[in-house]
Amino acid sequence: MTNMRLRYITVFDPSRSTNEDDTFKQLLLFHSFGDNDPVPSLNEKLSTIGIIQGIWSLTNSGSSSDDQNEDLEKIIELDNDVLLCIKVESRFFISLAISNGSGDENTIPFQYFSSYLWLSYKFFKLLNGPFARFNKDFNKLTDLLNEFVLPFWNDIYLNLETITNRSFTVIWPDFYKRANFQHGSFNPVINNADKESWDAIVLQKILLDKKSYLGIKDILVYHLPKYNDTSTKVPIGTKTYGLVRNFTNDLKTLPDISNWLYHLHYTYGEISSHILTGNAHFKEELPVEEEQEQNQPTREGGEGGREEEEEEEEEVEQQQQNTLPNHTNNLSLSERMMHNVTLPISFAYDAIHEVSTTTGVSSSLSMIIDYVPKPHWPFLSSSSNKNDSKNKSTGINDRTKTNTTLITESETIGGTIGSSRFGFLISPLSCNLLPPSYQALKLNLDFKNSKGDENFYNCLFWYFDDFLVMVVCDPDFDKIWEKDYLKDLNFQLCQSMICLKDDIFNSQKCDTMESFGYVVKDNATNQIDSSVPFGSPRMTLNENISSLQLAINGIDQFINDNSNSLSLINWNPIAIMGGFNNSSKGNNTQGSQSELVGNKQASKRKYLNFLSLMNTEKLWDLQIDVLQFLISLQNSKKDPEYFQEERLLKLNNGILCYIRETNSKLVIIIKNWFQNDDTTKALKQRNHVGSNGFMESSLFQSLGPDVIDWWESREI
Amino acid sequence: MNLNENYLDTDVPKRQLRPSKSGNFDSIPIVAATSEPTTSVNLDETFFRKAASPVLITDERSVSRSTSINSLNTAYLASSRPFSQVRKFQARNNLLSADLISNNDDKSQPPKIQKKNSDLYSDWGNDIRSRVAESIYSMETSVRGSEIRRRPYVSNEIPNIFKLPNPNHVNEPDASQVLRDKNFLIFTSAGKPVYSMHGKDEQIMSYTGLVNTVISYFQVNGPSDLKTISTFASGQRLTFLDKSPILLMAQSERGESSNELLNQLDFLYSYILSSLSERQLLRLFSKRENFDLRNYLETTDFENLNEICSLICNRMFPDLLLNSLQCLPFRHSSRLKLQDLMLQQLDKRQDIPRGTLLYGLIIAPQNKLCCVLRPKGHTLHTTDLHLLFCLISHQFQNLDETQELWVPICFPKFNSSGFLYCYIKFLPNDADNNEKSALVLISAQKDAFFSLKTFSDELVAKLEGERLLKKINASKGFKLSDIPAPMVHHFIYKSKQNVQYVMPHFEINSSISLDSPQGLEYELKLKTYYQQLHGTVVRDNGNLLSRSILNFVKWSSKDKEDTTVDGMGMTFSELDEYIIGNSSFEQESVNMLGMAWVTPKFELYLIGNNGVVDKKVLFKSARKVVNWCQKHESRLFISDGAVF
Repeated sequence: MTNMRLRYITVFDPSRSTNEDDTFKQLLLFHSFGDNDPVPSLNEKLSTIGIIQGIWSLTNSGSSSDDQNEDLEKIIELDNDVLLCIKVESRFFISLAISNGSGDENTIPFQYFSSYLWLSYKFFKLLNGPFARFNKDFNKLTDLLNEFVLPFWNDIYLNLETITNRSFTVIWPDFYKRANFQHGSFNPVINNADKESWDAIVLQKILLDKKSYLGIKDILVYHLPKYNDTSTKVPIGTKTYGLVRNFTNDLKTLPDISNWLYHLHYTYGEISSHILTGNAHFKEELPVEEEQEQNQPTREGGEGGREEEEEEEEEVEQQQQNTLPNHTNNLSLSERMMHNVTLPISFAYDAIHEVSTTTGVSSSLSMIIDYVPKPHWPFLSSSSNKNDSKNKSTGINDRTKTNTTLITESETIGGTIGSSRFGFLISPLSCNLLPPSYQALKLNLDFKNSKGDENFYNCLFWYFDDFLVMVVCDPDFDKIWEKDYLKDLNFQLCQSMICLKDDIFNSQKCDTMESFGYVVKDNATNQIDSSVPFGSPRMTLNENISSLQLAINGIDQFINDNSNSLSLINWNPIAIMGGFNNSSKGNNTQGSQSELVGNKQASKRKYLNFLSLMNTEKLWDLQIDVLQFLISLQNSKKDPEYFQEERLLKLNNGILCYIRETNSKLVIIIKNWFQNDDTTKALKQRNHVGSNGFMESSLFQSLGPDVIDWWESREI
Repeated sequence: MNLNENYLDTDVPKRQLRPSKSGNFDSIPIVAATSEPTTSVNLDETFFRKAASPVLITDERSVSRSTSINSLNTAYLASSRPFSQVRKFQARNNLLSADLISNNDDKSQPPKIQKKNSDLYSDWGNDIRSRVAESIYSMETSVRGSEIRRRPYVSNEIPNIFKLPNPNHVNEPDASQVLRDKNFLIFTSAGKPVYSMHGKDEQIMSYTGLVNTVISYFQVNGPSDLKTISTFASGQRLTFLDKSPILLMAQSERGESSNELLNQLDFLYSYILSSLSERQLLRLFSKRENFDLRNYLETTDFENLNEICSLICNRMFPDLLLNSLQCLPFRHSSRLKLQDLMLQQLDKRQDIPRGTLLYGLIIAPQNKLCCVLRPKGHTLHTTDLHLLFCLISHQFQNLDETQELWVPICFPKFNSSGFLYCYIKFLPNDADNNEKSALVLISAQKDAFFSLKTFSDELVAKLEGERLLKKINASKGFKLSDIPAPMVHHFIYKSKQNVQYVMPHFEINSSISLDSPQGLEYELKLKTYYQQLHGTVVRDNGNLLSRSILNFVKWSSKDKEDTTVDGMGMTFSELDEYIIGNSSFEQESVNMLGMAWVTPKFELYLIGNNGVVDKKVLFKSARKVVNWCQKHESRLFISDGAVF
């Protein structure tokens, strides 16, 4: 628990002001979080951004920054507060103020916040293009900032854990995590030469296929398992979390896409079409009055020209009120939303209403299930039929109901193979009533080889259990709008993912518990390999995290879901990626053969290390410590052009941490030297025999044989 | 021996840790000369072949060198040698090495003990091979100018791996920039500059104006006061200390944490208080907020501030970093005698009313505390003592022993609003060097001069009578070679309980004087190493990472494949060039291993010789250093002082 909280975020562009009278033009966004502070006046806002600019020029008048690249990030520490400021596109400033509350020790280091400040910009750029794109229409920029930046930070404001729950590797916003499988190809015994590898399928049958050649720019395959195996409550190692691979090497935006997906996944606990399109956010249970107050500042961001948007909102609200007179009355005040984001789904109310009456499904839950993007193509294997019949027999919990719905629906794409679920999350197959982003998400990507530097590409999302596949299509590639082509794509992806899964399950050594955790940050490729577990202790302002509910804009009103869970599973399983194992809530009544196999496989691929067994508080302390080591390394004044640095730290709490920094890599290895003692002793004895004492006592070598083996196998 | 640390790699057999029974405390300093830091001696034949004009080496000498390698582990044996015997060996070796060592002064290589023991040769084996391999890097490879001037074969120079400013240019006026890699600014709340380490007045004026605006913005608009501004890429850090009506700012690109910088600022502020006292300062500004303090301070104040800043920035001054004092290593019995004498003197002088004499100090040259007389239950804060030491070594150093001073000094941590009065007298020193010890008697009473003067005169006479004065003047601290710890370049050992630290003399190349530019560069280099090492074990708030820490830091040349820069044009500092010169050998690669070892009892910061990559070797030596320091604790540290 900490008293830390966000105070405000502001975006401004000093170049828009030409004289003293129009300084207000600089301000693009100013939002105060919560209601603890009085809403600042325009003058106060202007003085705030003024002082930030003052500090910026003060520190830039220094000697050394003249010849180097200009500093793009400054941290202003006050006694109890921190002001972070970054400069983007050489003229826009984004600044975030954090209050440390009473200044107690248990705070989140500001490095996390500053990293997320960068990420919020990068994500914005990914979804909407750079700020400079709106040179002619700054009101539009303000609107978009309101739509994206505010919900982004509001989710963090409501749940500070968000920024800490992906381990300390998030402090490098330019880097993305890669999945480390020890899959079959590493092991020649298991690798069948005649069997096609999964990436060959993607490459041959999709990317190089004449139908889609050059139309599909890239395919990104992610492995995004949950933190816990929900059925067994056993944590799953994070080693395999991340990008499995993509198929071009000129996608410069790759770190941003990856971090964006990870962020969504870990913020909301799921990846669903609503989350991908940015329509799901946390809401706080607040009385109406407060809520209105909170909305106030968000609208003040753009000084002029906000009427348009406000009108739009009013329209939306009116529409809601017109269409939902009964529902709104029944809703408790606390279930109101607090975001002034677009409410796409409310437009589709009529359609839903119709569906619910015709199908006769009475619960609001089913309404939504029917409503969400439908799998439209029957890909029904025998096993899924088996599942189906079993489900029918048990048909108690919500999930089985959904299965029933799934099977009976004739127009589905996606379905199940064995214990695996798959389907499109975002594709043109989604309901036409939904906003266009549900059909193809337009992302601003940067391929080095393409002519225009950056461009918006149509991106489709498809899942197979824990694998998320993102298909990047050229904006002119029209085939994706054909149902048959999508069916084909679906089929090929399925084939490929089955192979990939086989590869992984057949790999060796994945069930052993590693005695060390590692992070390898590669400066050349911007990749991070990490086995440090995610998760952090509760840091949020709210005593009870359950007071937060995930609200999907517009849909929220229909749900009478009193579950305290953050998860979306209860009511919307289909549009959510993940296998059966993950989405089952421990109520394992099915017990089918395939499920058991699945469980077995899942338990086989835990990829755990000793850190996974630590409780979250201890793990958090460890992460703080490691971050401190990294800060101290950053302060190192060695001449990085010629020298590298290695450190080996032993603390009395058992931490043994090795850090090596070179130009190309940063390697961090964490061990517990209490546990390490036995192996070291064994090693020493071996040394006596082997007489190789000289080699064994370099800093790296003293980490023990398991680390050395791992490193050597990695470097091959 | 209280080495109850779990993470000792291996248990050292007791016999290795303890000297034999005959190990006499008094004879310790000269034992085990074999283990001087440069002991790594190369027997690789190719070395001798390659040398352009190899120096003639007698067989015996080379044997003695080889033994020195092997006796790294056995050096403790030498300590059991009776004092006289060691002396003899020493003398003999002096003769032997006369042709090898040019300047046989205290900075040159100390002689080695020859130890003929046939057993030593028997197990050369693998162990020695690895050591020799390491020692190659520890060698000074140059034999340049062997015709002109013979230079030692071995050198313990450490390479510079930091991007450091050239201390020679520090004082050059550079009109264009206020901000440098390090600067201190002092100004008033009204924005008037008081002092700046670098930069001219006209630049400072506008700059302080800006800084002042920023600081007062946060004071007025909140939410809280400005503490630090850091920039990410350049690592620049501005730290502010608000002591209204005085504001202080430190600017640094040296990777110091804001807490470190705050300590430095606090020290500067303490100096201003020591000269003015807080009460006076507040009074000056209460009348007029825009009072110009520069008119009130004296030239000496600015000189002292300059000195303090340069001490903080460019000199080896771990006192602030470790928040502790350096002590004069002094024979325990002599120190006890000294304390007794002071107490006796106090008893004898019953005419001095109780409370007139608060503290009595004897301060050896280079700011080393030698002896303390203090009332029971009261100690002086280290900051106050640092200030006093600085004043003595900078401001009053030109005094001779016939003169005495009676100065009011405010000790800010003792009482920031009042003055204490210090009677300062330099003690006579027969030696021709300019270093003098000082006797300081501190009183709260303005008119106590004459009673303290008589007290001092009698005390000095007694000290002379007991030959203690001579001993104080003769005490020179210790050298690394006094400690049987091989492969160590330098170390700092801090005893936490006593809040004191010790470090051996600098032993840089004999032909470089410590005050020369090369000497200063060396000092800055060493300082940076320690600052970096210290930085690895503390958090940003200055607290230690945990109760006990063992941290190794290794700096090495980049792997070839990792170098992104073409043509490896390694820029060596002047000093390194000087040493390596035009040697026909390849430039040594850098392999520096440093160590920070923190336990509840002590802190040890240690730098190995270049080329030592084996952490076990270094740790073994570190343990020897710790053992040595703990064994000689009573000699190295003042535990209680003379308490009345």
